[in-house]
Amino acid sequence: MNGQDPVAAFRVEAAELLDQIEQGLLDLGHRLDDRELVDEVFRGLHTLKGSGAMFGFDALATFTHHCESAFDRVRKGLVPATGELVAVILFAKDHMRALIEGDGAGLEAAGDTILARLRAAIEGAAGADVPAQAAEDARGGWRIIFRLPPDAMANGTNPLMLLDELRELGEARVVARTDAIPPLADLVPTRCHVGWEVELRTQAPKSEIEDVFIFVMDDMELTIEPLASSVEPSPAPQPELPEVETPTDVAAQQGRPTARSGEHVRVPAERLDELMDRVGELVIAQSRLSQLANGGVDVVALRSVSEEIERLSGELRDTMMVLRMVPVATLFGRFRRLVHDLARETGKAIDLVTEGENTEVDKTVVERLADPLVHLIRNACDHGLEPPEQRFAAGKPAAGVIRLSAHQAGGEVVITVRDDGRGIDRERVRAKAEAQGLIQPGQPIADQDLLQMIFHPGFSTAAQVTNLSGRGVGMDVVKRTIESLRGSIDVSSASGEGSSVVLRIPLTLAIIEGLLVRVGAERYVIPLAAVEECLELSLEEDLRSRGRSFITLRDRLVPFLRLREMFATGTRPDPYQKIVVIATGAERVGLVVDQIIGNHQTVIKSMSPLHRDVGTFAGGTILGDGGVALILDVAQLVAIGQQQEERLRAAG
Amino acid sequence: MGVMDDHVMHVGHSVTMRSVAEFHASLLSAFDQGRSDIVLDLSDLGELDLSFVQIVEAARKQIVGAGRDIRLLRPAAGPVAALLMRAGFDTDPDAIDFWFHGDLSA
Repeated sequence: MNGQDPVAAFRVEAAELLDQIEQGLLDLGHRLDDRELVDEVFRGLHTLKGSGAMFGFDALATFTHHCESAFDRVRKGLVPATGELVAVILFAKDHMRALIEGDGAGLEAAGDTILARLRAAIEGAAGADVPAQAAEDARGGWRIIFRLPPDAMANGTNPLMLLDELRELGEARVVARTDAIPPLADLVPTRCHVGWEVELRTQAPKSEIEDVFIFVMDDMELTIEPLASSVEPSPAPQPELPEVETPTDVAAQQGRPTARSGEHVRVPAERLDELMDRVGELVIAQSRLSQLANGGVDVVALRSVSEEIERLSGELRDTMMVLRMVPVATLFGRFRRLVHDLARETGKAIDLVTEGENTEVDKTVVERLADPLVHLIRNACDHGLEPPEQRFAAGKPAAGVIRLSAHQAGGEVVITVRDDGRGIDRERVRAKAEAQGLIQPGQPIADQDLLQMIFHPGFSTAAQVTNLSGRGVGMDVVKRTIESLRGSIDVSSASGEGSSVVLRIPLTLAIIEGLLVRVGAERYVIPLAAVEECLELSLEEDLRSRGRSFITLRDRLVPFLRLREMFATGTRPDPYQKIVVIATGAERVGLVVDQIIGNHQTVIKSMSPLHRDVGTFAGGTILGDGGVALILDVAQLVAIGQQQEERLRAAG
Repeated sequence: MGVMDDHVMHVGHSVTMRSVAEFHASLLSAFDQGRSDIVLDLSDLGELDLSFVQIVEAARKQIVGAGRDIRLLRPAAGPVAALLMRAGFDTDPDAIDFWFHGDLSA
């Protein structure tokens, strides 16, 4: 394990910094004159620049530096913060993220575009009082007067290297200024008191000169002015407002960092201490056990050690699980930005209210929940919330509210996305479902089942597909993702009052309660949460249903799968076969097994890369006797059962 | 002024950020001793950085008005000259006078 990689650590830290900057910017968007927020964002940018440079992310450092200097002017009160400026720096922040995650290749153009827009935003904010940086491209060159911070040399900056770099830009006349050097008696010889005046004849833009000083710039004195003699009185070249790509396009362009260098989880130290305690106790129990093994057999003592180890391993498991938990706040935080962007795009006023941010969920779950939640929130903003006029007409406050909440219930986390918009239009859902042949025209259908229709592939009730919805994932993908997390999704809606989507996700993916069954000679685990009931399949019923593979369960036909045939065990069926009915959402399927062994705490081991594509299994586990049992993938099996049902229906 | 009256100070092989404190101390003690001019012999100086140039400039300031002078035994050459040029001490006439004895072409 490579836990020491400083670059990886930097990436983690930078990601947190960026989140912090983003939150600050979003708050600032609401309270443009909040000095503390301005300072906070500035500090974030400053730290990012510094540590970026330290870890060799030069492109990041340079880019961030420009944003920082722009923001510095806001901090110093030279220009007011404006909505446009905040929006541009948000774009810039996305770019920084791309620079951190990738190697920065191919991003220069995007970076320059953002910087041009940033300049325009600063100038726009400043109005006419700030001299447009017309002299950006002084033809003849620059007069650069600089004095380094006194501790620069002690900190390892060699002023001569800076001069060398300037010389590389063009013909330079360097004059050392000694006037600030104190007399010998007062001199601290390791401090730098020499200043310089450089006349540089170059075509290089001012920014390139600033880049030379990027790592010492903060505390130094630096003035860069065009060489007086050669400045042409050219009209201020207004930087053209280039088309700025939207963040999604930028993200698409760089093609999402595919090779993530491993995941990192930050763990509070006290949790590790707790883990350490348990491990310590385990070691003691182990030594007691070896003592017993070497001495005579003392059944009472052996039993006590066994109980001790049982308790410890249980506690270890719980502690371990908690290590992977992160608060959903990290997830919810991202959506503030999303809602901010959506509000800008749709022209609606949208407030995002979050609740229960401290609810903790497995790190992997958090990552995988991000995309489905993005989709749900987009849906809510785009389809759910009405434009302000309509809201006003309906007697609602102009600003729509998206409420995102999380809480823990038993072994599940419940995440709810609720809007106070117009609600799902059942007529339209019905019409669409009929058009797609999902239900017969006029067929009576329970309200809940009707709403479930929106999870069918290719189902969109939007009369017009806007820029926001209608691209990326659909509700069917949302549903599939949630089910792959062994979760469930429910939707409810009241006309005119809004809709809510409830996601229930198990707390962890690492350990599940399972039902251990036998099929042929092998054992399999069915996730207990999906199990609805178990029935016996009597011999005559089995014979009767041959070829049909349906049972009637409380007046409903439920398809079933004979796992013995599916897995081609080649064994004779047990005389007392059982059907385990499993369900995801409203769809159920029965699995015919030879024997139900009982429930089993299952630690999930993922399948080897070779077997990962075998759809029917979600993983494997090791049983108490050392044997291996495969874990059935409920969603897949239900899908197979449904196909079987459809085939049968099609056949008449 | 005869060379006999001067305090010739032999500068060691290396004066850099790391050793400049030592050189500072010896310069200060040279100031305390006597009233003669201080003459720096840089013929051995091979390893130097900006801190050397800076401390000599500081010494020049200190000595002004003391009725004494500080100068180089021979004009800067080799690594010393290279560093002076790199640091921009080859443009101002006063600097050229002091460090190169007025003649840059050497």
